[in-house]
This record gives sequence, structure tokens and C-alpha cells, in this order.
Amino acid sequence: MKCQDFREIIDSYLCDELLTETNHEVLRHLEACANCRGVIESRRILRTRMKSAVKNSPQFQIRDGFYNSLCAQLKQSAIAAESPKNLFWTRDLSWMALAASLIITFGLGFWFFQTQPENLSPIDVAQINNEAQKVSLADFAVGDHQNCAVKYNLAEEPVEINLASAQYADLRQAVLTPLQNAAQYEFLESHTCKYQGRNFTHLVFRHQGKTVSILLTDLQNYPALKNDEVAKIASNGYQIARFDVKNKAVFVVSDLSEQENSATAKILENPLKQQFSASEHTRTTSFSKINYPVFQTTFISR
Amino acid sequence: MFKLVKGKSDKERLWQDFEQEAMPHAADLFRVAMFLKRERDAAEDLVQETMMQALKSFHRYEKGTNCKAWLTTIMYHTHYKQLRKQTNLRLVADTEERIAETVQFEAPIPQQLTDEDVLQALKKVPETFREVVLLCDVEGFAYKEIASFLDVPIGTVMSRLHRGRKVLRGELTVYARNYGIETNQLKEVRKEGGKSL
Repeated sequence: MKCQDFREIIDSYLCDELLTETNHEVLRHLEACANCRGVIESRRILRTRMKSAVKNSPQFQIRDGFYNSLCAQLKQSAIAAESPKNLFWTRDLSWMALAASLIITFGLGFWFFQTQPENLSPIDVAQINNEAQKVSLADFAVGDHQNCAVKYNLAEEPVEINLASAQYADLRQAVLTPLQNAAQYEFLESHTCKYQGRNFTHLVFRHQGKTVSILLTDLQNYPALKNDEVAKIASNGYQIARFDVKNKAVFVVSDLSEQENSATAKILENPLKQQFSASEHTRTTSFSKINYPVFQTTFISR
Repeated sequence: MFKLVKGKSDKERLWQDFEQEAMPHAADLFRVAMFLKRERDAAEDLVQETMMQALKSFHRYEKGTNCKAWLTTIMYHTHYKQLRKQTNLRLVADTEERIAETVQFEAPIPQQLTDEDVLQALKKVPETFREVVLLCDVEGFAYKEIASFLDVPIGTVMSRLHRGRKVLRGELTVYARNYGIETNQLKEVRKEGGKSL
């Protein structure tokens, strides 16, 4: 390793951000080079001085009064709040009984359909699906776009995507990268949100001065698209483009032109398909190998 | 029919966990808030909002993971949300290239440096670079964590760090001069006609 190379990576070495092999090279170089030993010492001093200067500076110290009042306020909120996780476990035993009976019912149903799939004809399945399709998935997507991205008027506050789950953060990156590579997409927000009981993973961008929503939702009771293409739909004054990946529908909703809206979907189609082929996005537990909607339950972190 | 029996102890346990896991990071969070807001009142508001949000989402926090990074992520989201409400302008680090080109050499770090010298030198580092330098060298966050807070690729973090540290070292040569430290590098600078650091 040359001195110049060493000095390029010296701070990463001090931050412990190098690979083990590179660390070994650094150490070998240090053994042989007195000048670089001086440089690394100098940088160490700077880091230490900077850390102590900032941490000791009164400007950066939290005030005791503020800390104490913050503590009191948070404690009050914690005592008053209902934590969803704790709430579940503090319900009385009747809830447990209900849960047990539901599990037994689903279990029996699962066994029944697993062993006798021919009992449910394709027509029956179609009827179930048609019933569920009274409100189309696209209507949900447009509703979420309007209420969340445009009006910010949801019953439940959206959860930032990174906080919802690490898996969502991966997904976010899969959307962000191609759109940021394509010019003029300004990223605004990413979160998970709920519209009329349906969960969406939602990324909001601005493109040509218009708000653009990228929405992912589980197909659940809804059928997948028949062909493997981007479908174009216009609803309620909005342009909607849809394509499916695995068991999810991806919508691009905006008031861009039909061409621009579809182009956005096209940009995302392949990257998202690749992302989903690499890993499943949501934690979906199907009780049946057959995709009968009644027996599919999806858990989404919110 | 199914009457909810909620024990007070559960809420207290939630608070106890939060107090144990999250509250010790309040001072660190405040420092980060000061990097972002630069004014005490605004920084306190940001810490307060961050902690309230963290408390609401605490059931999502996995015990034993990096709580400081989790809280800082929430702080950045909250900060960006506040920025978005204030203005539609996107923050763009347009000075990066210009600054990078003005840094000519690596400065020696004088032993006699005081905390005040370092803070003054830090103030002269452009904000975009200073933020990552502070997050990395003072708060000890990994490059990957910083990239996630700032929503930029890890390469951008590395490049900003490199440039920020270089500018800082450059600023500190002024103090070296004040302390009477004469080096070959300083002589070179003078020969070049006091080329700007």
C-alpha cells in the first residue's frame, strides 16, 4: 500500500469501516512507514479533540430543566397511552378463548380445503372474487392517493417506512433508485398507511409539478392481472397505471398525462419485479396453498 | 361483552422500558438536534417531538438493537417533515464540488488546540459536510446509518466525510500558525501566494 492510498482510507480505518483484509494492509503499512504513523496520530488527536470539544461545549448540552420536563411529559403520555402491543396481552381470558376458537375454525377450514379442493369450483371462486371487487383495487389506490398524498387526511397517522419495517426500507430503495436515476422525480415521503382498512406501502414523489403516488397493496381477495403488462386506468380525474408483482398490485396514481403516468410505472416495473423475486416483501402467511381468499391472512406492521 | 382489563402496571412497564432504553440518549439526540437546528429552542422542540413519536412507536423497537440510531432516524424524519411544512424547496448540496477543489493539502494538527479552536474551525466547515463529520466522528454512527438518516447513498456520505475532514484540517492550520508551528506544508502555501484553504 502506498502512502497516498493509506491517507485516503485512514479515516475509514479509524471509524472501523474497512474490511478485515484492508485493515491488515493498513497495519502492515503503518509498521513500515513512520510518516504515516505521524499522520494517523494527528488524525486521532483531531477526532478526540473534536469529540470532547462538542460534547463539553455548553452550547450542545441538554438543559436539566428541559430534560426533566421532557421526562415528565413522556411519562404522562406513556401512562395515558394505549400501547397496541401491550393492549393485546392485557385483555382478559375471554379474548384468548375467542382467539383459540378462531384458530380452530381456520384450522378446520384449512384442513377441509386442503384435502378437498375440488369441492370449490372455479365459478364459486369467481363469485367470491366478484363480490370482493365491488370496490376495485384502483378505487382504493385513488382514495389513498387523495386522502394521504394530496389532502393528508387519514384516520390513522401513516408510519414512516423505515420505522414500519426494515423490509419496507429495502422496497423503498427499490423504488427510489430507478426514479432518482430518471430525471426530475423529487422524493417527498415514504410510509405505510391505511385507507378504508386496506394497507398500502406508499411513496410520494413530485414530478413536473404534480404529486405522484406509488402504492403497493396485497392482492388479498382480488385477482391478479391477466397479462404481465402495465394496465392503464383513468378514475375520478386521476391517471392510474397498475402492474402486479408476486401477490401484490403496484399502482402509480397521479394527475400527470396518461403517457407520463404509464412511463413512471414502466420505470418501476422491472426493478420491483427483481426486488420481489429476491425476497418476499410482506410477512404473508397463507393457510392454504390454494389461493382461496377466505383463508388468507396478511399481517402488515403498522 | 369482552371487557378490557388493562393493568396499570403494563403502561408503567412501557414507560420503564422507554426510560431505560431511550431516555439515556436524550443528550445525544439534543446534540444532533443542535447540528440540525442551530438554535436551542428549535432543537428542544425537535427532541421533544422525536421522543413523543418514539414513545408512540416504541412497540416497534426491537430491544437490544441500536436505540440511538433508531431515535436518530425518527429525528431526521421529523426534521424533514418540519422542513417540508416550512418550504417546498429541496435542499441541495451545490457547494460540494467548489469546496472540494479549494482544499489543497492535509494540514498538521497542533497539539495545543483548545476546544474553542476546534469549535471555531468546525463552524467554518460547510454545513453539508459538517453534519456528516459530526454524526460520524462525534456521535459515532456508521456510514450506513448516516446514509439512512440523510437518505443519500453511502458513497455520498463517504465523499462528504472526506471533504469535510479535509476542510476541517485545513481550517486548523490557521491555528497551527497562531501557535507558531511552522511546517513545510505551510511554507509551501505561502510560496503559492497564500492560496486559500
